[in-house]
Amino acid sequence: MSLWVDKYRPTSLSKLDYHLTQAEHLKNLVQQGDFPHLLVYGPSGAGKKTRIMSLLRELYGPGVERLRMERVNFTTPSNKKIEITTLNSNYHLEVNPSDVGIYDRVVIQELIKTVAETHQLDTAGQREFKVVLLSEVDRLTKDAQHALRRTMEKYVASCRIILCANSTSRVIPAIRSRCLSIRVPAPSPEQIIVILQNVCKKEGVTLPPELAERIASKSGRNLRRALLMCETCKVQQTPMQPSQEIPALDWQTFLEDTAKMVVQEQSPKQMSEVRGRLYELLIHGIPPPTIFQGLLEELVKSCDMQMKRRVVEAAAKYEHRLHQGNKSIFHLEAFVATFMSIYKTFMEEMLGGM
Amino acid sequence: MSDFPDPDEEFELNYGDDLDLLNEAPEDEPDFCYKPPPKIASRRSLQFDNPKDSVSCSSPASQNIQSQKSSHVNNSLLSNRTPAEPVAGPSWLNDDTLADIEEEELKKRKVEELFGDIDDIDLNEYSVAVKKKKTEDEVDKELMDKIVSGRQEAKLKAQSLRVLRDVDCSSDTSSKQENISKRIPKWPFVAITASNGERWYLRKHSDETLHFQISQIGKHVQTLGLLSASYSRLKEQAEEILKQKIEREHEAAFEKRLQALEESSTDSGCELMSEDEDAALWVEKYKPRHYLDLLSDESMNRTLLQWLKLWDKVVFGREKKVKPKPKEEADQSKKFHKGPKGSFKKPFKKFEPKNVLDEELDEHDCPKHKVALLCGPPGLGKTTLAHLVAKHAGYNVVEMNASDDRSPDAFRLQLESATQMQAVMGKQPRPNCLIIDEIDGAPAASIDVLLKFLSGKDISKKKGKKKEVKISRRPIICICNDIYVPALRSLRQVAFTLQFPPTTASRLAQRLLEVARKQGLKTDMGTLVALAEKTQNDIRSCMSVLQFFKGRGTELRLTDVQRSNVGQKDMQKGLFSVWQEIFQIHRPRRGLISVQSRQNDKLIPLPDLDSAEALQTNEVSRASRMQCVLQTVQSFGDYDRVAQGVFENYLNMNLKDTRLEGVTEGLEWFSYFDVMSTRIHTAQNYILMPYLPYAFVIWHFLFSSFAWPKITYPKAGYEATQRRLQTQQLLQTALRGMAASVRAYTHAQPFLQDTAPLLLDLTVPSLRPVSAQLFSARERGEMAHAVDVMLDYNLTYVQLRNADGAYEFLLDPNLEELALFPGSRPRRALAYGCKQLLAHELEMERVRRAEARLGPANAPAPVPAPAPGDAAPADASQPPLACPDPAAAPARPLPNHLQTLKARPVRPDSARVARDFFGRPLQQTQAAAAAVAAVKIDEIVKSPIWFHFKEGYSNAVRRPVKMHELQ
Repeated sequence: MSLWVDKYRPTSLSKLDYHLTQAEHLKNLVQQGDFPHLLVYGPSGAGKKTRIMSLLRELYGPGVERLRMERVNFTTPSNKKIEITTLNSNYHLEVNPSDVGIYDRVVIQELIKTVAETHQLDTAGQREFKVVLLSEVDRLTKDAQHALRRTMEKYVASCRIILCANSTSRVIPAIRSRCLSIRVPAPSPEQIIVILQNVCKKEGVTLPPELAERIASKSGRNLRRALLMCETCKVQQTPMQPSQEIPALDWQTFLEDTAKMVVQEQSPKQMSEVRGRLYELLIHGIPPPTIFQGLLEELVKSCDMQMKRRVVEAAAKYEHRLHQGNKSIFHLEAFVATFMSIYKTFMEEMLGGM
Repeated sequence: MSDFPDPDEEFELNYGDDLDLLNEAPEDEPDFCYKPPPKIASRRSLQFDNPKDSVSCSSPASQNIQSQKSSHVNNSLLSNRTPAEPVAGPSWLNDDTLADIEEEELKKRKVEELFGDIDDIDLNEYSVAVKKKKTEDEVDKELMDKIVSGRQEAKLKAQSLRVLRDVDCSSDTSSKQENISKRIPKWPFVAITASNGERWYLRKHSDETLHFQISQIGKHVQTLGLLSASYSRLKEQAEEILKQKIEREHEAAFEKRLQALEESSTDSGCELMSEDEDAALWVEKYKPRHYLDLLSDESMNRTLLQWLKLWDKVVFGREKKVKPKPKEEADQSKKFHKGPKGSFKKPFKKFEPKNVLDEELDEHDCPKHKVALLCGPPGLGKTTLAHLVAKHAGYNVVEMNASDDRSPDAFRLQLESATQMQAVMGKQPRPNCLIIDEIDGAPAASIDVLLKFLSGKDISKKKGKKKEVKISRRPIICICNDIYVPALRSLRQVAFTLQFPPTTASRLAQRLLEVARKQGLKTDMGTLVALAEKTQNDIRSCMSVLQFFKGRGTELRLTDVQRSNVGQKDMQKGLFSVWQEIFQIHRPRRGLISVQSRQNDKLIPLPDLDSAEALQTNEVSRASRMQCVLQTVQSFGDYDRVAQGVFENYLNMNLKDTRLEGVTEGLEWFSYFDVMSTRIHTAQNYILMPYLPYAFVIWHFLFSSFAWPKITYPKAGYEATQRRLQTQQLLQTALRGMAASVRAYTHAQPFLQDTAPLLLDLTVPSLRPVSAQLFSARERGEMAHAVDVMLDYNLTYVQLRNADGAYEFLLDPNLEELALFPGSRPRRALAYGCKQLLAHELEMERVRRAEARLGPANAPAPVPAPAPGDAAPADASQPPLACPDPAAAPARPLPNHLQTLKARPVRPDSARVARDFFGRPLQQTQAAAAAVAAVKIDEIVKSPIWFHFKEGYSNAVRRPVKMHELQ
């Protein structure tokens, strides 16, 4: 626990830095020692997990923080052996079913049922229920989500389920309606600056306010990223300077360069170069929607309003198709080609007009 | 009136042997043979009472001259009659004699029948025999004509003279005696000397009598009816038998080929086929019967034959009996075969340059390649070639094809029976040649069996005892359409592979024309060439088309060929040719395509393509292109792979749209294609499947050109998938090793996107490359921090040897691979020494933490202050044991390994001073001291008995001593 991001993570609801009213609500929620199923959602780096863990600690005490990792084996109906890692405490169990891809339904059915079907024998020192924490619910397959919804109702006496997702759009309505949805918005840049300053004070280093501001804006309201960047700044140059260069994320740089290449030249040859770079991004596990987003953000910078509309439209179209399809490179390249075509036509008209 | 009464027969019976001699002796006498009879005929003329002789002296020509012979028989018999005697019509002919003659005829015929059955015509002499027969046939014909005319005459006379015959009978008996005499007779005679010196004289008849007699033969048979059948009928039968026999021989030869040749191929050389076989398929009918009739590529034929000939050594060489070879080449090779090994190849060397075939023989005298593999598209005559060549080389063909059971066990059984056994029952037992047809459909296990068999490793499991190593000693020819079937992969390596080139269209057309002419089908060369091209030189389908048109009864014109759908195969092309089809525009061939496409227009409406009338020609070709691409892609089937290939190749095509509109449209279709195929595959919604190939049509119109496309195999997509899986695995490993408290807040995506790239910066402390002792406090702090972080995220430095042979430290879950991109910003790199230091420190810290974790439970001793509360009861038993150690520790400051042995100083006894209870030294009196000393001395010295005990053992004296002896 030596990275700042881990070291200064608040562990109780009362110590949270922002969204304080929400924290208060959560505290009230578990006051009676019981709570409904929860669906916590919000962008990455907003503090969903921190809030969930604080809530559990509020409920069960510090024993929740004693975590151990376990590996559970399952056999799918098609006789394939799968293994999944769970994080357990005495009071809860955390699992990310989407780790096993399309077999997540089996995990949901087997694992949660076993947990949920076991009643607590000694209720004196414990709550009557255990908590199952499912992360990345929005990446669950539809099958798994359907498997989940009945389980949620059936075993409500012995278990509570906390779902954690980035967005509710891919969570089926049946599950959304069974849960109390809690949205954790990303912290504002100001909040991030405050937190960065606090952390640096605790560490005993001085953080120039300008640098803090820059980090906050560069992090894209992602607190984790902001803290990591801040610490990297500190490691790179110990008395931190206001004008210090903030380390960029490699994939972001790469994506931006790719977008620049698209703007630079529009030809089949360039397209094959771009394709190579897109492949590279996909290989490194950057999700295609993120690539779409990064490309679009960079590309619209060189467009006028009318073009912007068309480009965004194309991006939306192909991103939608991306979710329907399987081969992301087709859709990414289709978007790139569309942009190139629009841009080139525009440029030629401009030149012709002059 | 009968010239030959009954006694004549007796005479013959009595003197038959003599007559034999008589006849043999004067053979040479010129006047004996009035009509020059063939030598054989004259000799055999008197053997009719001994038909077995004629069996023994069977000559090839003998059976063909039956009629002639019979006439000679008559001649010789009739020659006994005297010419001087007045000939009154046919009256001289005795009924009995005639009956005799007829009987002899019957016997002869039987003999001939026997001949037919027993005596097989040798293939070698067959043609000679036919020639001979033809000349003799002509002779026969003349004779037969005479007989027929004479018979008709005689019939008339016989009726008129029948009454007279009975009267004349008696007078004839006397004249009979005069045919032979011991004295010199008055009538013209022939002198014969018997073996014992006796001389006989035989009456000589004139030619007229002979002819007359011949003419009388049929008449009496009819009138008397002593035989079961008339002579003419017998004669007819004999001729029939002869004819049948010839036909049988032809058919036998033909049958052999027929059973062997199965695949279609055409040939004109089957003149013997009768008219009523019109129903047979032309493919069968005009199949090549001879090696020279083969339509397939000449060099290919020759190579295969050559390979087959390599087996001669092992197959025929061991046999003592020289097999009759169907071809002179084979005979030649036989002759050469007597000489040293390998010399029989000479006849080939003359006209054949060294081919791809490896002609060396291995230690078992077998060719290197134990199996030949013929491959090529259907309908080119592979099977025909194999059968014909095997036949040609003198083998008995055993065929296996897809219709046979080809499970491994059945396969082995077949294989063994075909290669190790030989038919003994057939007319000509020949060694087998196994032809495995359609091997590409056989299961891989069966092909394994074949391979093992070829390499001699096949040991049947059923039999307990070990078999001797079996080497395949018979040639095996495998035939397949697709050589790249996975099951054939291993076979391909050992087999002698022959790619079957298609026959040229013109050559095929020529043969077709020949067939058409034979069958009376009107057509012309151009049509047939077009047909051949259309069917891609598939001989079988060409023949079927021809026959079909013949069946319609119309003539075959060019338009018919163009319009007909027949002859087109649903052929699957290779991947590359499919891609080529998509990327290349074929220049339209005027005749064929236009008609075809116009026809296709009716089938499928093409709304967007036939808009402008002016672009009619262009339109037509576009429509046909669409059809072409659709068909190709549909017949290939694996759309995903084809699409991937198009995707990875289209950018390298010569694209002309500067604004990339075409590319955009194409990619739109790629996107559509992907969505569709995903939908199909996830939901098993195959009803959408027919919409997929239209994307290829669009791509064809967008990306194709006339130029030859350079197509590479699509690897990028596959490689990307592989590498992505690799990174995913790496990510999983990294996550798995993390500390649980960290893991709780870390998920895969955030870790990959945020943490991993920055971790690479965070774990690099700014260290000077100096010894650890010289680090400043800041450096030490940074290092400790880095170590902490790395431990949290389970990172280590591992020493690895790189490609240059130098050692370097790499991160263990290699985050660099995960997070770095080509062209990433440069990182601060640690020197090798620093990494080493860090790795060491990591290891130490890890051990320290492990100890700390295990400490309270396992090792309480080294902990200086155990927790008083809970540790005390657990350790209750330990303190007494453990105490001496801590106590002794300060007393012996020297560590164990530094201690040495030292002599202990001797302490003088006197130093000890006796003290009283209170510690005061005791003052001993002299007397007391002396008393003590006296007592000491007394006890030893005063005693009268001394014992001296010697230790040791001896059995020098040992004897039993009884108690009473001692007393």
